[in-house]
Amino acid sequence: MLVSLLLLALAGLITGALGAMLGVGGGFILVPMLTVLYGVPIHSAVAAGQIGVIATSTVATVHYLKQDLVHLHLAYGLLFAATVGAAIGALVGSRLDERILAGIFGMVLAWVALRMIRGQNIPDDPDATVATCRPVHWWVGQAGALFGGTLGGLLGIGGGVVNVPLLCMGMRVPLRLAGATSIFLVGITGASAAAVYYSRGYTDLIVCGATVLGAFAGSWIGARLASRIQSSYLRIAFGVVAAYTGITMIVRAVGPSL
Amino acid sequence: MSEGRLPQASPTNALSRSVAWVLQVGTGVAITLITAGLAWLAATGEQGDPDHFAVPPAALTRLEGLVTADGLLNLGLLVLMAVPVICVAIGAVWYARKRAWLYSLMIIGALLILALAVLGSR
Repeated sequence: MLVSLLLLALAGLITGALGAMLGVGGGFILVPMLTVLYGVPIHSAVAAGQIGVIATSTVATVHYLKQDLVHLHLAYGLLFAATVGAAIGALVGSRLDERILAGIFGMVLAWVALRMIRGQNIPDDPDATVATCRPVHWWVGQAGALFGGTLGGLLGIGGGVVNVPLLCMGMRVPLRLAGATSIFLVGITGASAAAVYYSRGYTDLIVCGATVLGAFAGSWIGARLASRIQSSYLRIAFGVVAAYTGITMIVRAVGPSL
Repeated sequence: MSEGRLPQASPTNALSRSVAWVLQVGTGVAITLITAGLAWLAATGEQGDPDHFAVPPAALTRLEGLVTADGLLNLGLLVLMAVPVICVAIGAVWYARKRAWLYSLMIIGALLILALAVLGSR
């Protein structure tokens, strides 16, 4: 029992650390780990992933708020568009060809990954704080959040991989602030998704409890590491995550339907 | 809507402090409850029981439902899920007090959509 709990906590710890550093939920790491390595049923793994996102978000947000890196004004401003987008995605999902959408989104993410890794036109001020940050292109942000939310609702991907490039490339928010603001946002959307899985009875208390405790610890470590790591490394790491997610989407588009 | 017309968030403002406080307290309560629940399970060796799934929150209103390993785990996870929602509600109130009505309404709209998503999934 204790070994199982520790292994689950380890999975949560890895996910929480990466999620807190890069501003992503980390479900793309945790869900395969739980299903493939630990044999957890997919619905329970996704439920644990969503609750893990909240744990990562809460701990990391507190740290980033103290460092004046969470642009709450921006986050609250984009929340409505993102949730409307997610609702649209959920409503029209059955009427659209998921493979075409996955293909388009995969290619967009591959482009984002390339730009992130090369550092092309990415605002990268290591000393930036909310007080000094001046986001631009407010309506681009709203449109991007709506589009990202819709794709998220349609394709079941987390918000972080959309939020960070949107804030960074679309609204000229420096990378560290984009990651910190994104981690606050994904906690909110994660809470909604987690509540859905909870109400459907997919929440395995032991799996969720252990992974959440790991995610708390991982997020605490990840948020502190992010403050010490050069932002160029964070940018490249995010590029790798975006590339991985993009390739997954392209495979989903061209691969055999299940 | 222009950025400059709306109240600015800064590290010292009431919104940041309130959100940080809710996150810290909520996380602390959730960690305590989840740790207690898992420790209880580990101590009593109930690993063979496959039925450790979430129960409806109404079951936690009875003491006998709450004071169990599963009850503590359930409550801990519910507290954790509630924390971001409370942060959103705080944002709506804060912007309303600043008379940024459009912002406040947008946040309330987001809250309603999130609530509808949960209710609609049942």
